[in-house]
Order: sequence, then structure tokens, then C-alpha cells
Amino acid sequence: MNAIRIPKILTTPQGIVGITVLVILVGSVVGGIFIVPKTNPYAENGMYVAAPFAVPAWASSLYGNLPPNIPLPSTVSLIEDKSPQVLSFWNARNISIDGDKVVFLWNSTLGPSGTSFTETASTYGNSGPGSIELIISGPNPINVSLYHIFNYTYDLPGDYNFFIMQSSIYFQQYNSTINYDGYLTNPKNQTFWMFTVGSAAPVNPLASSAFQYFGPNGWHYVLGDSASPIYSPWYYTSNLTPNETSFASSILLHSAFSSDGAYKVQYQIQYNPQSSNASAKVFLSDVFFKFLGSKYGLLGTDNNGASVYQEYVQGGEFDLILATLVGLMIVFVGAGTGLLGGYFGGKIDQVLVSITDFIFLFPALALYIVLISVFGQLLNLTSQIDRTILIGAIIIVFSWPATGRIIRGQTYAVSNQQFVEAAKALGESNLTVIRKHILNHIFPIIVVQIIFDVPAVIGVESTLDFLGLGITGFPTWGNMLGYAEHYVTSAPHYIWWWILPPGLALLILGIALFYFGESLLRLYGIQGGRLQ
Amino acid sequence: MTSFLSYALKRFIDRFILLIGLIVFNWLLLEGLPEAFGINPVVWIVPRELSHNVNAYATQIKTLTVLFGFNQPLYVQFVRYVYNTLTFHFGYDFLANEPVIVEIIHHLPYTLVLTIPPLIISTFLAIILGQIAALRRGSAVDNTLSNYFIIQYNIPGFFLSFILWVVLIVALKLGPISDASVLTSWNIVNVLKAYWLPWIIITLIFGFPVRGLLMRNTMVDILDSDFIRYERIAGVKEGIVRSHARQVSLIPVVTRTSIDLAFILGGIFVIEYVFGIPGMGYLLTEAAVKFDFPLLVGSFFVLTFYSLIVLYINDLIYPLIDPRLKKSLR
Amino acid sequence: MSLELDRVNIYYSLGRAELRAVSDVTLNVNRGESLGIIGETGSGKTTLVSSIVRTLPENARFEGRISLDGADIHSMPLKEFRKNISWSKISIIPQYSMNALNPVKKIGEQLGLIASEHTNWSTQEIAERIYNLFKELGLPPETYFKLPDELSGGQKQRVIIASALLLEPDVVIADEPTTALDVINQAKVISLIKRSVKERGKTMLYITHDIAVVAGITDKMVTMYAGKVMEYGSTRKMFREPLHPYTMLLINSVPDIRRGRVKKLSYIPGEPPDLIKREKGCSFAKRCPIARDICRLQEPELKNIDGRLVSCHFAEETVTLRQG
Repeated sequence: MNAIRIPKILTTPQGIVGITVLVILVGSVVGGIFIVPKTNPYAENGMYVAAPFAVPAWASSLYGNLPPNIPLPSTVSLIEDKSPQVLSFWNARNISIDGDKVVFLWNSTLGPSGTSFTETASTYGNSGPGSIELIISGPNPINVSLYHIFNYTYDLPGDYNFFIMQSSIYFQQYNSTINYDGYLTNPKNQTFWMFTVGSAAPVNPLASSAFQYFGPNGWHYVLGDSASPIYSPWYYTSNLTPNETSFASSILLHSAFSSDGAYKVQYQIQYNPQSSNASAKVFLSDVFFKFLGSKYGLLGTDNNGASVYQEYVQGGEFDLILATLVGLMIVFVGAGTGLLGGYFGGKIDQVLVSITDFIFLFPALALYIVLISVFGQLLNLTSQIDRTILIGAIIIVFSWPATGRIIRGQTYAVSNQQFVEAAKALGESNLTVIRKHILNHIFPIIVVQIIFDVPAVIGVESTLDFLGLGITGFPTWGNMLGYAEHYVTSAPHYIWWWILPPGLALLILGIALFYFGESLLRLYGIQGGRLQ
Repeated sequence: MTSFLSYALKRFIDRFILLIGLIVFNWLLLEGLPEAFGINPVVWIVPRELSHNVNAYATQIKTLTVLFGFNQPLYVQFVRYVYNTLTFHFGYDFLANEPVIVEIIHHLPYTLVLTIPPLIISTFLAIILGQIAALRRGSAVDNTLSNYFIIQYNIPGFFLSFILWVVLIVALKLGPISDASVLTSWNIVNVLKAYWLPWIIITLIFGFPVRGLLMRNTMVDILDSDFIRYERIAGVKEGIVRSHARQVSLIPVVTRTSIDLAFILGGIFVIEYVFGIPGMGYLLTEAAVKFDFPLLVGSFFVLTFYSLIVLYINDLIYPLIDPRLKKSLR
Repeated sequence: MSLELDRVNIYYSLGRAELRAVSDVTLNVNRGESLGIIGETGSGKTTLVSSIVRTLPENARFEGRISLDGADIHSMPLKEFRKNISWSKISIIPQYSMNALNPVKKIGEQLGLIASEHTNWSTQEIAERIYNLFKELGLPPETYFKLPDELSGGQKQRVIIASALLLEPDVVIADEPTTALDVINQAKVISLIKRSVKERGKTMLYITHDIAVVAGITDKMVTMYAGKVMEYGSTRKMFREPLHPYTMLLINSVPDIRRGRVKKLSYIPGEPPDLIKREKGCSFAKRCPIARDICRLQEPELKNIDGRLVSCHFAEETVTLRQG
């Protein structure tokens, strides 16, 4: 079967443009598969790679000097790899003062385990051995600080930026108590109290509502952030009026980041000895601060701060695979029945025609919506994979007859030609005639049908996803647009970086495949494309 | 005339068989299949959320099972369903606390007003543009128009609706964000305010490129056809020759438009969704999201029943549009 | 009253190449005379007809002169030609007669429209003429109110003949009118044309690839090959005594049962020439059974032999070949 010689298609202008655009489009998806993380951007661990609605980095200068992500330590691998360099990053220095002695060590064997926390793309933790070890001994109370100073030289944060401050802690106390606090100090020298945890009640009684009791001898995960300041001591000590409390996040963010300059992130351990021979050991890990910026990557972020490029790539991968598989199935079933119906006529033919007549009666989208709802409920499908299979199956069941009818018509025309009659007269079996003579002739049409069916399937599936009736749990081009629809009225800059990539991809894919199919048809001298 | 009557009757029987098929299909979806899967259809009809506790819900289900007759033999249930459907009793929507038919009657006008004007406009536009392209075949105008039709055909309708809504409504504020807020009463200003952009979009996406290209390609073929060549040789004025070509080319376009008319109510989900127009598509989408099965299957039946009626009217009108079909009536 | 073609050359431009479809054709048909134009596909006969009725495609280039009664009808404005010459002076029975009628208009309406384009006759008058023609051609009067699809193939053919005669033109061109018909209908249509056109004293051009057809109906005939006139003269003489080997071969490929003996049928081997490549010599040389070296080198001129024009170096010798 040497029916398809692709290079020949490159002789038609539509073919060249179609193929080039297709290659670029598919390349942008396939190439991205190797770059983007495998995490699901719609699940929590895929969210908050930057602030929500961050603009693409390359376009950010259009909107002023937007703040980027500011992670401390600046290389995330420093946290993930449990590198001893964090000691110097956080300015850990041994001190001896008033008979107390503080020693910082790097402990490469003890690290966080057993703590429970919800992981997002911007938090890290529970990642194995390695921690900062503090040995404090002496009779007097002492505050030991880890700090890092960074410069903020950008436009002040907008509505969607926020920062997080996290750490894991494990401590052993001998006749002493340990409290652990987090602070952010701004260039105006205002200090914002982000968390307070430990084995004794906080000194400031106002902050006691935010205080979390942590016992010794166990790993604990601590998180304070400006997204939910109600859990931070600042909320209780900042004297917010009742009207202001609902805007606490915004007030915290904007009063903290109210000017450019040097910002200090400070983790403070309060050692309270209860006898002269008291001492304590504190292990800190995952010490991490992050300001989530307003510019990110190739295509910015969505409402959850998840990477839009990651969604685009994963959505495209899913759409293309699904559409190709479903398209192939439609054409496989359609071409099979079409061939049999067109060649043998009779019952198969009648059945094919009746089925198409019945199916053509329904408004297609309404039918799909009803069937997906009913069968989703009937089979009690909950997982996204099951749902995908259901949607694919329904599209196949209701799409193959149309393809079958086209193939049937072509087969019928071919089987009435003289060379087929001749082959039959020469005593070749039906199977041989179909394989050698008919299939050979209609093979280009079958190929073109696949090319036409792929964008059709993507179109239907995307529409369902857009309406929220298809796949919702992981990215597809359709549900990216569907989710964007909810935010476009309120989000900055009409979130063009979120809307355009999947939208244009769908548009270009449809047009490119159409021209490609048309030029294939023309190449084989087949009159009349899909639109005729 | 008797030949026409027997033709009309024959087509009526064909369409009626399809109607029965449709009702069986709907019955299977709403009642037959759940029962086959061992699910009491009442569970689908009465949503769980409506009752405070498990016991009250169970009692309610028991009462309604008897009331709706789901304890009776299947064929009794089926006959009752067919009777109810044919008399437009689609059941009760417990979520909205209204009979389904009342809701449908409430939502249907929004869709009709939304869809019919653009269908008319787009048909005329397609005919005019298709004719221009055909008369200037091979020219830049023809290439531009033909490629425009092809590209327009391949733009996913939901993306075009969405992007135009974002640009014109959200960004340029040329209309209300949600049309439901404007469409509280039927006066001409409100209707125009709410519908001008949806009308334009439906004009562009719903069958317009297909009809345009159909007009162009048919007319190109017709202008090349023997009878046009003959009229020209015979000295018939070019204006008249062209009007004859147009007349014959219109036949497939009109046919196509009447088919589009049959399916337009079920083809505009996305526009109603994006623009917040409380029409049939909106109703059906909402019903699917809320798993409101009586409403879902009821509005689906109305959409399909509408296409069935329009298709039957088409059957009757075809012979009038295309004189050639008169022969087939005999 | 005569139709004259004077040194007509027609070229088609095909991208870079130019094809000479008709070369130096000079013909003269007197009033009441009929001329058969015979040739295979690609012989230029259809192009020649197109140039007479002025339907040459845009890529065609015309040289020469076509005149009707001395008036140059090819250089007059097309609008004037369509108004004053088409149908009222020259009408055509096209080879696509089966499809020549508008499928959605009634027959009478269509013929009436054509008539009203060229004359001032009243509707009544036109209708009467149409009825009379229908009667003459054996069409039932209801045909007037019928759509083309309601007619049989033969009836459509008759309507087209009626249309050609409607305005009593001087010249009727029958352009392979029987191509689409089966043998029995062919015979009917030919006799109908003979009766209705020729016997009205119309000048007739009958174009066909089938030399047998013209035998009974035309006074003169011309055989064309590769756009050139091969032999031109009286039909009777040419049938009895063809001078050009091509004419002879065409006649031999027709079964003749009249003479009561079964003649050995021959066919002409080879394919029609490629008109784009200009070759030296006689264009028929490649397929000619008597071709010699000179035929491949030198193009023969039209010689007047026995009142006929023949384009063959050995026109005098073909007689021998025929007898042998």
C-alpha cells in the first residue's frame, strides 16, 4: 500500500502551510512534555508556582516593574537537597553570651519525617535527612535568630501576591521550654509576626489565639503566610477594626510591602531555661521564605498560581492523544462498516443508513451532554479516567456512522467500476478484491477522514470541557478556557496569557488539519472536501 | 394534489417512527436503564439534597415510587411514559419546584429570539457573499472569501464566542456581562442590548461558512454548466443568465438552511452559557451540572421534537423549492 | 448569402506553451448548402465551431476572418453579435443538448425568453411559433408547460432543435448532436435534423467524429486532422473516391452494409498528435500507412484535384492504394 507519499503533499501551498503550522503546534506540546513537571496543575501540589494571575515573564515589562518570585534560599535545591550551605544563608553564628552558649551544626542524619502538611508547588518539606542543629545551653533566656535580608526593588505588590514563611522543627528540651517565631521586618522597620509555636504559651497574650502547641521529640511543620493571616499572630496583635478583618490578607501584604528597600526574614528560637543546668537541642529544616511574584515563566499562571504553560502542554498532550485515538476508532469502525455496506450492499447497508438517519435527528451536543450525565451517574463514574473513556466512547458511538456513510459512498462507487467487476469475474475472493482493489482506492479517503475527524473530536470534547460537563480534574484545552471564563471579568489584563494559548491552539489545529486534509484530497484528485 | 398528500403522509409516517424511537430512547435514559442497573428512577428524579436526613429521604422515595408507579410492571411504566411525553408531561423538577414543562416554556423564547434572526441574516449574507465569490471566481475577492469561510468554519464556536465576549463585552464594555440581568422584560431596547453580540456571533458561526461556501461552489458549478452556456450562446442577457444561475444555486443553500433551522436550538449552548442568556441550552447545561434528570431529558426531548417537526416541514417544502422534485412525488 | 472562414488560426496559451488548435482553415459554405466537419478528438473541429459562435475560452487567440454575407462577425462587439447574430442568424444544436435546458424553468418560458431577446414578437406570436415547431418536430403541446426533467432524452433533443429553428436563422450548426444518444435515437435525430433543417433550406454545419453520419445529409464535407484541413470537397465524391489517406481510413472504419458485401473493417492505429510540439512535415505522417520520408520533412500544401482540396504529397497515388 504505497498510497500515501507525504513529501508529495509539500508541493501544494496549503499543504506546506498546514504541515508547518502543525509541526510547530505539536512541537510546542511535545517539546513541553520534557520540560514541564509531571504534577497536575489542577491539584494542590501543582498550584502556586507564583502568585495567581502572574503575567508571562517575557511580557511583564509591559505592565511595569513587576516583582518576580523571591524565594529564600534563592535556589530551591538548597532546600530540597538539604545542603549545609543553608547555615550560612540564614546567618547562623555560634554565640556565647551571659553564660549561655549557642552552637550551630549541620546534622546530616536527622531530618523531617512524619509531619503532615498540604504540599503546594511553593512549599517544601518532609523531604528526608538533613537539618540545622542548634545546641543551646545555659541558665538565662535567650533569643536565637536565623535571618536573611533581601532587597525588594520592584513595583509594590498587587492584589494577588502573597508570601509564605515555613519551616519544620524538632526539639528536645532539658529543664527548658522552646518557642519558635517567624517575623518579617520591612524597610520602615515595621515587624510582622507570622507564626508562633512551641512548648510554652507566648509572651504576648494577644497572640495566644494563633499559638500552636508543639511538644518536644517530634517533627512539626510550621507555615505562616499572608494568604491566610488569620492563623498568624499579626492578625491578633495588629488591632484591625472589625471592618478590616475580612481584608486582613490584603492589609498584611500591603502594609508589609509598602516600600522598596531591605527586608529581613527572621526565624527566632526563644530559649527559656527553668534551671541552671538547662539546655535544649533544636533541629530546623525546610527553612524557607517565598514571595510569590507577578511574573512567571512562558505563559504566566492561572487563578491558583499554577503554571499555564504546564496546563497548555498537559492539556495539549491529552487532547491530541484522545482525539487521535478516538478519531482512529471512529474511522476504523466507520471504514469497516462503510466498506462492507458499500461492497455487499443489502442488510448492512440498510442498517448503516437507518442508524445514521436516527443519529442525524439529534442535536449532537445536547445528545452528548445528556448521555454523559446519564451514563456518568448510571455507571457511577467518579475517576477522571473513567469519565474520559465514557466521553471518548460516546463520541465514537455517535460519530462513526457519518464516516461510515462517506466510506460507503466511495466504496460503492469504486466497486461498480470495471476493474473490480473484472477482478470478481476472474474469481478473486471478496476479501482479496476488497484488500487489493477497493482498499487501495479508498485508502487516501480513509486517511483524510482521520485528519478531518481529529479536530472534530477535539472540538466536541473541548466544548464539553468548556461547559464544565466533560473533564474537570486535569488540564485540557477546553477546560482551561472554561476555568478562565470564570475569572476573565475580575482578573488583571483579561488573562490573555491563559485564554489565548489553548484558544489559538484549538483554532490553528482545526484550520491546519483542514487545509492539510483538503490538499491531500486534491493530491489524489478527489473532488469535494468536507465543505462541499 | 393527491400525490402530494400521499407523499406528505408517507413522510409523516417516517418521521412518526423516528419520534417513537426518540421516546423509547428517552425512556431508556430516564427510567429503563436505571431500572436495568437496579436503580430506582425516583432516586434520579428526587435529588438527595432536598431531605434533611436519611430516613425522611427514604420515606419520600418510597411514597414517590408508588405515586409515580415505579412499582408497576415495566410495560405499564413505559406506556405511561409514552403517554406523558406525547402530552408534554415531562415530570416535576424538584430542584426548581416547578413542572418541567413550565420551566421549558419559560426558557424557550430566549432561545428562539436568540437564534432565528441571525439564521435569517446569515442566510442572506452567505448567499450574497457566496455569489460574489462565484462571479469573481479565482480572483483575490474569491480567494479571500473562500478562505475566510474555511477558516470561519474551523474556528471552534465556543472559542470565538468566548473571545468576542472578552474583547467586546468585558474589555470594551459594549454590553452587559450577563444578559440575564437585562432580559428581565421583553422590550426592544433590552433585547437589543442583550442580543446584539450573540446575534452577530451566531450569524458568523452557525452554518454561515457552510452555506456561504455551498453557495459559492454550487454557483461556480452552475455558471460552468451546460444550460448556462446554452443561454449565453443563445444571446440571453448576462444579467438574466446570472439570475438563473443564482436561482438554481439557491436550492441547496435553502435546503441546508432549513436543516440548520432544525438543529439551531441545540447548537447554541456555548453562547447562552458565555452570555448568560437563560435559554434552552442554558437550561440543559444547568440540568446536566445539577444532575436534574427530569429537566435534562425533558428539555432534550423538546429540542429533538422541535428538530423533528422542522425536518418534517422541510420534507413538505422541498418539492416547492425545487421544481425538479415534483417528478419524485408521482 | 454565405458563411466564409478565411485563413482561420486559433491558438491556446497553456502557461508557457502555446498550442495551435486550428491552422489556416479556409472554408466557404453557400446558402442552403450543408457542410460536414469530420475529425477525431483534438482535430480542432469544436474549437472551429466555438470561434463561429464566439464561445472561445479566454486563453484562446484568434487570427483570420469569419464572415456572414460579407460582414465580419468575429470582430464585431460581442454584445452586438449576441444580440443580432446569435440565434437570429446563426443558431447551434450543441452536443450537450441533454443538459442544455434550465432545470427549474418551464420549456416554453425558456424558448420564449430566447425569442424575446432577439425579436419584438408578442408573447402570443412567440407561443404560436413554439407550438408550430413542436408540432412539426413531433412534440406534444404540453411540452410547453413542462420542466426539462419531465421530458425524455429524445424530447429534450427535439426541444433543442426547435429552439435552434425558432428564429429562422440562416445558419444552423449541429455540433455532434448525437454523441449522447444510443444508435436508434441517433438515427431518429439525424433524420429529424435532415428533415427540419436541411429541407427548410438552411445553411447547415454538421460537426461529427463519425464520418458515416454526414454521408446522407451534407453536400460538402471536410476532414480535419490536428487542426488542419486534410481534404475538402463534395461529400459524394469524397466517399466514393477519397484522395487523402486519412479520409480513406475514416471511411474504411465504417461498416458498410449497403453494398451487400462485408468489407474488412480497419481502424487507424496510433493516437492523435500532440499539438504543443511543432513537428516538421505532415501532421498525419506518424499514423499514415503510405508515409514516406518526404512526409516527415515537408508539410504538404493544399492541392486542388478534381474540384477538391487535398493536403497530401501523394494524393494522386492514393487511388492505387484504395484499389489494392
